[in-house]
Amino acid sequence: MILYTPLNEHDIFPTEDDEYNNYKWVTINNRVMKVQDMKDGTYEVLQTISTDPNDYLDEQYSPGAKIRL
Amino acid sequence: MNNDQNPQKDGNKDEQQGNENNSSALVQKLQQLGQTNVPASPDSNIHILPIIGQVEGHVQLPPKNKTTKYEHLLPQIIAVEQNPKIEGLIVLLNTVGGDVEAGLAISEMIASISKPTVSIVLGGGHSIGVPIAVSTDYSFIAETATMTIHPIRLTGLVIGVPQTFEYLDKMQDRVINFVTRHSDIAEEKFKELMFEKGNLTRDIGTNVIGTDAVEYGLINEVGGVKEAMQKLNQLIDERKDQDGSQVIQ
Repeated sequence: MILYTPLNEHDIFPTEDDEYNNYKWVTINNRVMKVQDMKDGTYEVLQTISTDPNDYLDEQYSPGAKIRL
Repeated sequence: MNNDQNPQKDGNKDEQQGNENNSSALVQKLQQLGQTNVPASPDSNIHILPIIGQVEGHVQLPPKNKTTKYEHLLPQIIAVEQNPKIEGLIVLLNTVGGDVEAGLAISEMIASISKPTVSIVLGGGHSIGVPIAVSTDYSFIAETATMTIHPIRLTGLVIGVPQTFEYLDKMQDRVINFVTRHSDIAEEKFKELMFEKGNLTRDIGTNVIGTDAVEYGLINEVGGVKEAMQKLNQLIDERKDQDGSQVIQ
C-alpha cells in the first residue's frame, strides 16, 4: 500500500489508547523509569532516565528487570 | 498462631524461599546484563544528560517512539545546578530533532547552568539537536556523526495563512540566533547551510558531518568520550582555581 498524502502517519493510523496504558513512568530512588505492565502484577523496566551515571549500573533496576510497584 | 506451633518448620521454609529468591535473582541478572556482577563505583562528580530519539513537545508521541521529554530533563538540569556534589555536566546527543520550543527550552537551560558543560554528538544531532549541542561551554562531535541543518517546518502540513508562515519564520530566527550566539558559526554561513539546495535529496538543507561541523565553527572539536571527559575535567579545574582565587582576594 502506498499512501500519497500530506497527513502524518499517526493521523491515518492513530495509536490505540491501550498502547499508552501499557507503559508508565515511575519514580523510584530519585530516578525516572519507563516501565511496561506485564499484566501479572509485575512491571518490566524499559528505560531509566537519570543524570547520575551510577543509576544506569544499578542491577536492581536495569532494563529487563521485573519490579513490583 | 501457626508460627508459634512449628517454628522450626517455618524457619526451614523461609530459608528455602530465600535460596529460591537468590537463584532467581541471579537468573534475572544474567538476563538483564549477561553478567552477574556490576562493579560498584564511587559517586560521580560528573553527571550526564542523554538527549536521545525525538525531542518530545507538548503532544505525547506513541509509545513505540523513543523520546526525550522536557518535563523529565528540565527538573534534572535544576537538580544538577543545585547539587554541590555535581561539578560538571556532559550532554550526550543522538537525536533526530523534534519540538522546537521544547528543544530551545532544554538548550536555554543548559546554556544558563553555572557549572562546566560539555556535549558530544554521537551518531546524529539533527535539527533541534543543533542548538542543544552548541548550548554547552564546549562541544564535541564524533567523526562519523552528522547534523542536519534545515528550515523549520510543520511535518507534512500545508501552511494555510501567511501569519502561520511568519510565525514559523520567527521561530526559525530564534533557532538561528541561539546557534550563532552559542557557537562560532556566522549567521550568514548557518543560513546558507540551512537553505542550501542539492545536498539533501529532495529537500533543502545540509547534512554536516563531523569534521565539517568543526570547520564551519558550529562545533568546537572532533572527539569522543575521552576528549570530552578530559575537557570537562579541565573546565572543572579551571572553575575551582577561579573560585579559589576569589576567596583569597
